[in-house]
Amino acid sequence: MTAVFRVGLVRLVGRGSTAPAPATLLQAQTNGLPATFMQKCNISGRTMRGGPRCPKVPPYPYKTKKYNVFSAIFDKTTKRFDENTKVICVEGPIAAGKTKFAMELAAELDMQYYPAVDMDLIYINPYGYDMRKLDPELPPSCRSYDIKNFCADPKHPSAAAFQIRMYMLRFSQYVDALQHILSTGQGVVTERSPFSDFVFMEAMFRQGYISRGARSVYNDVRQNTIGELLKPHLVIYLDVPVDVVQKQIKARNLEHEVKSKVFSNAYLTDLEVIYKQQYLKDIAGHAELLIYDWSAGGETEVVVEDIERINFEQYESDPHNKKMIDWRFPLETEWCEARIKYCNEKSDLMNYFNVPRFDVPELLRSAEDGKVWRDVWYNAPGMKYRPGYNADVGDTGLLTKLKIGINEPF
Amino acid sequence: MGDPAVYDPLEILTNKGTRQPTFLSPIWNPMAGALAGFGAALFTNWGFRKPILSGIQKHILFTIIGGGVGYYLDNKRNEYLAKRDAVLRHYVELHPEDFPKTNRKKYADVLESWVPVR
Repeated sequence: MTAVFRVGLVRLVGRGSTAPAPATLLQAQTNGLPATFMQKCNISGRTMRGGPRCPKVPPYPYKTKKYNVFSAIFDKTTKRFDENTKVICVEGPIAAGKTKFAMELAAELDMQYYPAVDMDLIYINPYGYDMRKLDPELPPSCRSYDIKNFCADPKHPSAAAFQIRMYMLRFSQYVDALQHILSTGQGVVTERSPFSDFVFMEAMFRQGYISRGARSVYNDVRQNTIGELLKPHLVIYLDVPVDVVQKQIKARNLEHEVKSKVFSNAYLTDLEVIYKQQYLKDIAGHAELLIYDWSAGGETEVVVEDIERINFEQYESDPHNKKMIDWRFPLETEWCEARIKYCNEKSDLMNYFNVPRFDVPELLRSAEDGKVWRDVWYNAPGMKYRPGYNADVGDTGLLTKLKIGINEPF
Repeated sequence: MGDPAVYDPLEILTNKGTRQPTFLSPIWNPMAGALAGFGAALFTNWGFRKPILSGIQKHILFTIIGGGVGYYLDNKRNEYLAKRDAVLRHYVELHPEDFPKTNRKKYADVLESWVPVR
């Protein structure tokens, strides 16, 4: 009889009776709860949930409204979070079908999709003018160099700067993704990430496309910046063997890729080896990792089912566990501080790219070339003033205009 | 007005109302302040990569604030100088024995004639 009362008392006043979800099986048992009472909240797809995501709190308009210390007093961060508030990175070799997969995944999980970056983000200015048209007026060291140029001439001295810029764009886009997830609570799916960018740099170095000095600068820049970001929750690697990659490249039939000598066996093998032996090994310490043989494509639904089975909360009870540690902020204010950092201080983060290394000639340009570049670049259509203030490309109402965009390029 | 040949310390510190301000002296400081305000607005626009005259309301506001600051500082300075003179005057009035009237000397009385010796 006493035993009955004791169990009842434990159930009524035990910690588990007030907390809705005991975190571990052990805790459930000590609280006298049957394990069936345990709640798990995993990522859920649209099909499983039976409809679109319904946000608890309307998203914060982070693209038009600043989020600073004062906003943080009134607008807290975690109230928008739910089980789908996760960062998923889709990784894989060239032409593996990442784009299609990532888009389907984002649609199914109701997440925001961030496409792969390319140099157009730099060379197409905010008014749609292609800055590559300026090349004839520029000295050789300042001319544009994008993926097409890389495919045609990978040993060009600008290849190193190209890869550093790709890293910079990925970093910038990842900051945007973090802004989105912290301001809206909606998860994000990115195609590749700043964390995996070194794979390309390393493969380029092994193939002799970039010098040892440039690699050292890249690593300095990476070391100076990468720690600012929150690592993803989940990395999905679409594994495609080298010969299939080469077939896919032919099948995709993009002119610059098909004609290029870059995607040799050696380069693609290097990519695969570095991806698997360095990147995946490293990121698996923080993120959940799913690897699929994607050589004949695959079903997104199958992947979604696998994702739904992952319990992302299982590491929460141990604060020293390295898994998901970037996403463990004990206090609400710390969430808000992180959100301020990504939403309001992006320019400070981008400033960390200013690593003073002057020992690698291909990453420098002479003062004369720089002057010519500056004169040409900032006199192109829509480049004279910051976006929104260029009368020559049709901006109006400038006499009384005060507004400047948030985190806009300038 | 006393005898011009005599120095009277009290008289030197008295506003006799004979000095006319120049045209620029009352407006110089407010004008400089207004100009600095306008310049600050131009500089801000240049720093933000905007056309230097866009957002003209900001320029007007900065100019008014700059002019106001100049006017305020000008008044502050005048008050300071008036107070300083009043304090000195009061001191002289309290200690007349320390400030006797002296006869005015000319350089001719002070300097000796120059006799070159070679």
